[in-house]
Amino acid sequence: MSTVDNLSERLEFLQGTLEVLILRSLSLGANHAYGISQFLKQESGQEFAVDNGSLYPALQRLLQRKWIDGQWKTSPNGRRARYYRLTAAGRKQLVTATSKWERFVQAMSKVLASAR
Amino acid sequence: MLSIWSRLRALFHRRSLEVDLRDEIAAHLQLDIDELIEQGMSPEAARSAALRQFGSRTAVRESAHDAWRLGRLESFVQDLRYAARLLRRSPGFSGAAVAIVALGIGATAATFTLLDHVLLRPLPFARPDRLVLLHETRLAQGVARTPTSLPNFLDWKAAASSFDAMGAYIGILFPVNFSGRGEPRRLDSAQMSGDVFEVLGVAPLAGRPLTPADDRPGAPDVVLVSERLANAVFGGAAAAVGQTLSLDNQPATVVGVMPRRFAFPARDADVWRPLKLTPPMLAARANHFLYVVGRLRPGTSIAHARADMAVIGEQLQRSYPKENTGTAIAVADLRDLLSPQARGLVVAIFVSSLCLLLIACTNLANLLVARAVVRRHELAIRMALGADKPRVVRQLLTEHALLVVVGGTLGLGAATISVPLLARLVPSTLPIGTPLAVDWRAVAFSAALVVMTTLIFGLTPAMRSWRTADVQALRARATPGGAQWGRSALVLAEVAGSVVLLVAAALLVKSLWRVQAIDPGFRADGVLSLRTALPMPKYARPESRQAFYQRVLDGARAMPGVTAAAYTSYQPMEFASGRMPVTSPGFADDPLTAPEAVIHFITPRFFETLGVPLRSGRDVTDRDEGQAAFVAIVSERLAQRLWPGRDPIGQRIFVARAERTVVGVAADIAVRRLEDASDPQVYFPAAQLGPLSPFYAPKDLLVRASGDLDALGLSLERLVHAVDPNQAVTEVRPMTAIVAAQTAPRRDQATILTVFAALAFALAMVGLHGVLSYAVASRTQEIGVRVALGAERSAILALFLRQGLVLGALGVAIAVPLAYATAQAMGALLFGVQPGDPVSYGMSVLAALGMTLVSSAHPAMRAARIDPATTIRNES
Repeated sequence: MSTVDNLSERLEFLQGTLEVLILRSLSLGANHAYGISQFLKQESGQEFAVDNGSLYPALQRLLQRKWIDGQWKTSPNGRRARYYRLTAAGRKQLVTATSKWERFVQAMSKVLASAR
Repeated sequence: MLSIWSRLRALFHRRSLEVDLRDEIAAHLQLDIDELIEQGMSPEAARSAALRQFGSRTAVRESAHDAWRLGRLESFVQDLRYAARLLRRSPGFSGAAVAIVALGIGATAATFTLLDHVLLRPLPFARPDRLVLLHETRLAQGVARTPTSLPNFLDWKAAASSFDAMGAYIGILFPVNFSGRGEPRRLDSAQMSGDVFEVLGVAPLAGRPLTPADDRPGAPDVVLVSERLANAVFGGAAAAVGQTLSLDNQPATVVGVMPRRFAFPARDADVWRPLKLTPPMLAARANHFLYVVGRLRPGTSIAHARADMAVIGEQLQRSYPKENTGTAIAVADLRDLLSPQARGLVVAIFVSSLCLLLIACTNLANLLVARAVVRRHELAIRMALGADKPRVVRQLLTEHALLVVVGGTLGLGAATISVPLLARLVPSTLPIGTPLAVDWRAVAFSAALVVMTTLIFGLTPAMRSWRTADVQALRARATPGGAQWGRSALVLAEVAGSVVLLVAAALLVKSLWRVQAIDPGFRADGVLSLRTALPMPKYARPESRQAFYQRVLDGARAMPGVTAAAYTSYQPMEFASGRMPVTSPGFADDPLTAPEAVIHFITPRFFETLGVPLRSGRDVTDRDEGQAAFVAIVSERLAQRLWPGRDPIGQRIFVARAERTVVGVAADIAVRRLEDASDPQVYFPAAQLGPLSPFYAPKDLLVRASGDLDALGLSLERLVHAVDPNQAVTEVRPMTAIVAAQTAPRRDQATILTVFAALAFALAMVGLHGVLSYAVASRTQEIGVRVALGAERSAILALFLRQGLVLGALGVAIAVPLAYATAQAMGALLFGVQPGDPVSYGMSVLAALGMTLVSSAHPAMRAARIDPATTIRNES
């Protein structure tokens, strides 16, 4: 899902990839929703602009699967925010998902390269 | 996948989820604003930029919610709320529907409980499918079931190869005097061979069961007692074992306590005694008093057992022609202990409740269809606004399910309340000790009914809306036609069902009247009966008995208001004394073919007390003592059978193991059941028992008096205790109550069926009214046009009345053959009424047609009052 202002340029998330990216961002430490979306924007070199309409449901799904949990905490600049943290299951899931993704990318590249 | 549980929790913790999300989004915005300000924006600009970047907060909240949404379940809860709201908004419709369902389900659940208890559930014995009842038949004499003798039983047991075990018992309970612990009282005692317990396989609560060793002559006197008695007398089962009881002044040791559910051979048994195999009993092959239960050997079929026993029966006929000629052995299901009447009654009541349920459901379907038609407009709008069809149908089904579940629950409650009434219909010979109660089986059965009702009668209207609730329906006019036919068919079924029930109820009520109108041959009103079962051997000597009778009778006759009093061995309607063959030299010499008569031992003035006319000769007197010449009084019927056209007085008869001379003839009386033809009777003086066992000695005191019988009962009890302080007095009842008890089952069954018929009738009336009202409503415009064009109002009235009557007549036409088939099926319950009784049918048909007319009148009149101007204006 891309934001409205740049419909064609931004990359759309494939089904399930947003969840993996959130897990990845949390593997560095607990973060809140705003922080996660900032992280993804920066780390992707501004390629991913995370739509809140996708981010929030994705967070809820991760909560339901018990891969993350959320706690209200105070941020360094004194704001209360809900901080999400990886659970053990979440960490395991990240490993699985990462290796799966790498295989997917390799296979995808091979096929696309051969077709060129 | 996702745990349903966490979703469910979210459903009910929706509020906290909501709050969390709102706060979280606010924090998100705040963090963004902080950062933008840090980058140099003004607070206002930062705020609006952050809001813009964030996007629609509502959309985000909703999409986050969607992650938790439980799809089906949530929409179901939504449907349920909506349905509850809708139903609350139309209390008339909802109340009617719930009441109809409650009625149908309640009646069916209650009668199913009865059916299940009496006919379906396994008997409470070990492996009840292997148990059989064995008895003798003498089909040539029309006797389908009769007990066997002890020697025959022992021969069966020795010769039969199909059984693991076989035990003999006496089919009725004997009263015994229980004394020595508080007020003396009467207990019902059963007597059976020790093998019976092996056959039935029911373990005692404490102690041991009876065993064959207890039957041997000379074995110590032991008894089993019921849990009820053990608790009342010894304060518990364990405490009872080893105690001594005094029964008829004979001490006996309690060796075991039987649990409450053990109700063999009848429900009221408090004491079980072993069958003592005394030499006289072992010799008495003609003394038929034992029924036999057997446990089939594993792998042996009942057919095989029948073949086995048939061979044994033939051998016994050849070996003992005098006692056994014409006697065959029958092997039957243990449930055959129930009489066909009892069985027929239970089935008839269950079937009629199903009939009622069917009518109730039909009515419900009718109501729902009518409502669906009314709501077509609303449904069409909802669909036009984007609701999908399955969702709408689901919504309708949810509404129906809610109605049915609420109604079903109410019905189950009603069933629980009404079950004690039905409990009176459970035959006492049913060997199930647990009381009748609505249990999980009845609840499961009702639940199945509820589900079926919802699916069949809820789905049809819902599917109909599926088909018709399209854009066309948005146009205001309802289209009559198709649906009308289905509804008419439902009404036909209702009318037919109620006519069948009406006919059945009418036949039963008429049978009841016929039975009640029977003259028992004696005058019951003003007579009080009470029982003083004299314990043996205390009263084994005839002199001691005579002295007891004399003192009690003298005392009773001296009481104010008492006009007559007498003792008899057993009062009428409580048949427990024997039937014995009466031979008369030169008229009936062979005891096998001689007429059998019910024997009574009486004191003087018995006939006067009961109001039985003496046709000729004299009453017994105090001079007819044990030493005097033995005399007898015969009933008219016996006199006719033995000496047609001759004077019975002075004839000699041999009966009850003594020769006696006839000194009087008494009018016939009904002694067994009111509805059985009067048996021949023979009466002997109380003192002339002869060689018969003291079991036949008089025990029932009958007193005729004017005034308060209750007060008289108390005085008589005091009198008996004054004569013998240890003598128990039981069954103090007016004779009228004893006669009324005869017709009680008939009264109960007639009442229940009449109630069912009345309910069905009322339901059919509602249904018919509904259909015609709908017909009128959907033809309003047409009628308006007709009236405008000059149609007479009376013609319009007639049109709708005719429509109602046609439906009623068709229903009746369907019902009459059905009713006839039903009446034939319940033939065993009818008395003095033919299954095709024209009066019952005529009245039911007239009632149905009258009902049709009455329920058509209101809609028809509404049709006739339609104002053409209004209807035509409405149409444009």
